[in-house]
Amino acid sequence: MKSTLLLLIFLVGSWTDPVAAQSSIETDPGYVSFADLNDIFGVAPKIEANIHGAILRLVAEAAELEDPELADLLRRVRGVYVRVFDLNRLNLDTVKSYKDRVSRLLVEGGWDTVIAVRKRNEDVNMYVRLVDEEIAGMVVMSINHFDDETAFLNIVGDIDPEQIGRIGRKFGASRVSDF
Amino acid sequence: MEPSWMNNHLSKRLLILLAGLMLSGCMVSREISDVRRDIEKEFPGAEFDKEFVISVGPGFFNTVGWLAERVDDYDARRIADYLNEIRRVKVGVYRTEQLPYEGDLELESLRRFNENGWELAVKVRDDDEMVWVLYREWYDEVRDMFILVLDDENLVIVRVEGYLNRLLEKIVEDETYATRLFD
Repeated sequence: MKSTLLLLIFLVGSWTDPVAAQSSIETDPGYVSFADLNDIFGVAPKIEANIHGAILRLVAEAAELEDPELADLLRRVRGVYVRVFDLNRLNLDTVKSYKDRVSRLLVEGGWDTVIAVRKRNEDVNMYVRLVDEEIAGMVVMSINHFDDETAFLNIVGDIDPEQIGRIGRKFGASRVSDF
Repeated sequence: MEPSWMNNHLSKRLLILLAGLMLSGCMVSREISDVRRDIEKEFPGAEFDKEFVISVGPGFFNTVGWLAERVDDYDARRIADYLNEIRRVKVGVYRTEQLPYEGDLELESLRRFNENGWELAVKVRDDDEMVWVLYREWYDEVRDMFILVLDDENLVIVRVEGYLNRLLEKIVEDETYATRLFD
């Protein structure tokens, strides 16, 4: 009985590892949660990626054969989170006000603005957070009327802003990549 | 010297034993059928017809791996090494009979995934296809993966259990070595 109980505790403890891995990334200074997006927008994203921990290493390993440079980039980051929504299914005002609110919160939280572009068909903001003069995370938010898409991307870890496109493309946020 | 009928008899027994060992892990997977039923229950109106469901277990991988290890061929030994990292593969292919649900199918919110530590890695909703990749980690390694692909024609459910990080590392290592060798 005692050994069964111990085995159960061991198994439960082991399977809760993902939760532990996730909560550790959530306390990372470079992490920004887009978890409430589905509720705010009222629809599910057309692309959702939550890549961290062992699955990130798996993706990096898989990238090694086709694109070793991308694999190296992925090994340096701790998490990649992507949400891409179809603009046609959304209320544009809701999207804009969400983007503005997150931008304000990021700046208040010590994030630096790298890009803030507002054009007729494109609206893009990029932020980085520096910790001890190193990049701890990056956020890109874009509203694109060419593709009728709005994308939210958060990369946790040390990433050169010029390389963001390679990671964005890998996870389906191709428009974000152009910046 | 033993009569030839005895040799034949022995070989037959050996073959049966071998087939038994190999097929010991091959069976229909109840879990895959349950996932399909869960989807139909969660999304009323959705209906799928079974084309085939198969589960290949450790018995198969161990036996094939053991045999491949003994073959005097480099590639066969490589495959044996990869098979050592796979525990179980379950595949279900269903024909989509009805898919009236127009909204957002959130398979990741199914209780079986929600309550058992599965994490959603990727979800893609294309115009005519939806893909979900869910996984579970154990000791910092992806040990379990569910891939679901749904379109107007089929529902495909795949579950792979094993040491998937290690498996990929081995494949990449071998491929990189081979590439360097022939460059």
